[in-house]
Amino acid sequence: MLELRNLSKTYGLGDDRTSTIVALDGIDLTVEEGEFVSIIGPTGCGKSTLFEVIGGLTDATEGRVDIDGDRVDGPDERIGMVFQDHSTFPWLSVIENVAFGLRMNGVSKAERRERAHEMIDLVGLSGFEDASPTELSGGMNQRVAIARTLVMDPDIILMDEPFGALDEQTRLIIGNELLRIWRETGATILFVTHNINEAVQLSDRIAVMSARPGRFKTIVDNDIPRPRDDDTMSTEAFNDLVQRLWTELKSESRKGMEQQEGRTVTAGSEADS
Amino acid sequence: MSVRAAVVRRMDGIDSVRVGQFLVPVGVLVVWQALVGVTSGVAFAGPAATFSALVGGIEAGWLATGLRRTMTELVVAYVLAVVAGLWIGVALGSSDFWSDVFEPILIGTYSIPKVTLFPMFLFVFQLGMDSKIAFGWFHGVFPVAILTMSAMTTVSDEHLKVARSLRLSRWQTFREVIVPSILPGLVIGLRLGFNLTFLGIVLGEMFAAREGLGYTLVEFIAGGQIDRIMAIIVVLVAVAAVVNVGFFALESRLGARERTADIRM
Amino acid sequence: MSEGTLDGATAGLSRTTKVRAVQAAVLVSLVVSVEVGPRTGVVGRTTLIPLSVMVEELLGLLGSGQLTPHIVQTFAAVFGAFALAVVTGVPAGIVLWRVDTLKQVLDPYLLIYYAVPFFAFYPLLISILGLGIAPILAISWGFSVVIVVTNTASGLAQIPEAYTAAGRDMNLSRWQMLRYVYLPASVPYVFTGLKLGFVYALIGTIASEFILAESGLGWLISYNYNNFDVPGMYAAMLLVISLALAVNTVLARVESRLYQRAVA
Repeated sequence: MLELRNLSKTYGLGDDRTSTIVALDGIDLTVEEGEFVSIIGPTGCGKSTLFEVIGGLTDATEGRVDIDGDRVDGPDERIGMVFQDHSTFPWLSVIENVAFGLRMNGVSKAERRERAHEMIDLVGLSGFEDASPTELSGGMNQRVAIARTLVMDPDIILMDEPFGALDEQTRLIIGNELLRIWRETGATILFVTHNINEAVQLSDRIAVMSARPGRFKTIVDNDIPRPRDDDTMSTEAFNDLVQRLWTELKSESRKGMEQQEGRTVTAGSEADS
Repeated sequence: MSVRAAVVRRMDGIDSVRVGQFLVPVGVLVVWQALVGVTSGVAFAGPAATFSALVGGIEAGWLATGLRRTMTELVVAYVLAVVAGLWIGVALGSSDFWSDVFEPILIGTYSIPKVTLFPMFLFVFQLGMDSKIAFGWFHGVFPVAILTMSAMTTVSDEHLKVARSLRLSRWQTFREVIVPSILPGLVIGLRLGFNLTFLGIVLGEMFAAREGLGYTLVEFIAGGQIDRIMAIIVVLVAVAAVVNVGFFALESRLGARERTADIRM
Repeated sequence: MSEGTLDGATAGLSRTTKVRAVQAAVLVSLVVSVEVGPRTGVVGRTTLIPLSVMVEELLGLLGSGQLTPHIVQTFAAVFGAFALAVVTGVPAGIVLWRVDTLKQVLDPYLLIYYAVPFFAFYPLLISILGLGIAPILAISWGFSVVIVVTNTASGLAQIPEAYTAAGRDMNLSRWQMLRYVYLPASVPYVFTGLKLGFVYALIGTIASEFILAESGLGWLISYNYNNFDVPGMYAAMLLVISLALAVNTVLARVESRLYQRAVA
């Protein structure tokens, strides 16, 4: 069980750090074992900050993250992270990428091989063990990244828009694959996305984040029965839920865009100076 | 048909380039030999005289002794320059701020005629091997540091995050993530670093030493032993050529983007 | 403009200022340690003398005119070698750019050229040409010319296709193409070669004088070193390093101006 309690994150700006940006403000969430929870929100709402705070890559200003009542303090072996894209190592082959974490943690060569092969099978990349990530498509690279995380056998898998750089068809296919993997492994998944369809297709619950400062505006249960396939996506229940989430998200997206525009002007003046 | 013709023409092109490349050293030899005729009366040694001086130097032992000395200095200085240059480059390159601060300073220092500073090395390290090693190091450390530093910008943030999420130690992150990322730029730095270290060592030996090929070169001016001078030059050029060809092979295997010939003392 | 905008602008500005400030601090502490180190005895006075003493000595030598012949000698060699390198290197670069096969043939040799410890040829040149300005000119020319050749050739090769197409549209003759299209379009790149060529000529001259010569600033450093004239040595060193830094700064400024104009 993953618990986020009152997580807040404030960034200081400028030299004297007098002006600040509140990226996260009092995030509370409990994710049960084996659950698939998505977090959706407008661009710049702090989703990625939340992802990094839970993964221990960034310290929270306030609040804490617990797994089964035990505090997470820095990168933790119970948590596996899958990043947006371009995270596979181009200088290693597929199997070397997948076995990388095991090798770094001193697992024997024979065991590495066996576990890496198993994961490559699971993500459907058998036959590509010795290929270089540079020869593979974006979707296949994300499968490698997922296998690299799964092989470490984490209790909780965090994913930060892992399919964000993929085209819509690939995204649907690999989304179905992810559901199969989730079913087969019984993993707990916390999935960050800005794609409402994807969130509804995949998750048990969906947390909607507000524009900055990032808070959970609402958390919606997704009762659409599993297994969900392509037909599910044309059902009324699916579309209703998408519509409902979009209503929640719309005003936040507008706010987020206004904030973004403010920041774009800032970036321009920075380049001038 | 036209494709075939184009291919054939292209093969011809490659062949003529190959032949041309082979002919360059031959041409150098011919010109060298021709100069013997032109410079008759002036102190000069042709290929044959140089070759026999080379053989004679090996048999007499002075060439091997000098080479051993120079190579020892070179290897020690180069290893130290690589270690220090890598360390400086990675340390400064890890932070945008510190690379912005030190990049112009390093490049500025790199571009002054470093040879003028050699007396300071002699003051500190005396006349023996140490001063040459320190001077060679001083020449080689800059390109390694500068190219490592700029290669550090090619390390992906995502890869560093993966390393942290997998709880790699600092050393593991360096060896397994940073080094493979910067390798294409780094090998160029390693090559330029080698060339400059070599130059620094030879310069140092020419100016103030009691042993080594550089020292021997200057010694032979007084005796007018031009065949021996040329024999030493041949040896030095051979060492530089062999090492650089090795580096070029490594660079093209690693897909280094640009082959720069830029070198500064 | 929102408040965030202003914040961002000052944050951006203050970072550049901060970089400059730290750079200044590094340079000042370097200068101060050269001054204070020998004064406080942290560094022995036989190894290093305070910067102010170097400056004083240098001004004295410059005032007395003792340095003048050496400055003249060194400048003559540097400018002479550089002029030779330009006169031979730029046409050679044009030929190399025009005759692609020749370029392909010579490429590996041009790359390896600067790998050779070049000053090893200096004793040979002295043996042939005798001690004087001739071997120095020869070695400085040799050290400088190849970077001019390669940069001229690659600079001309970098000219966008559109320029040459426009030139051909206007039915320019070969000479007109070279004069009005190729050369102006390649100015910044060729200038980089000339800049490096000048710096190399300077390095070549100073280093040869330093190893073995009869006069010149490089010779003066080694002469003063050999005669235990530490202040005189450091004065000459200071002059050479200041000259090199000044030349570099000026040429780099001109270069960046040329590139800006080429982009605009």
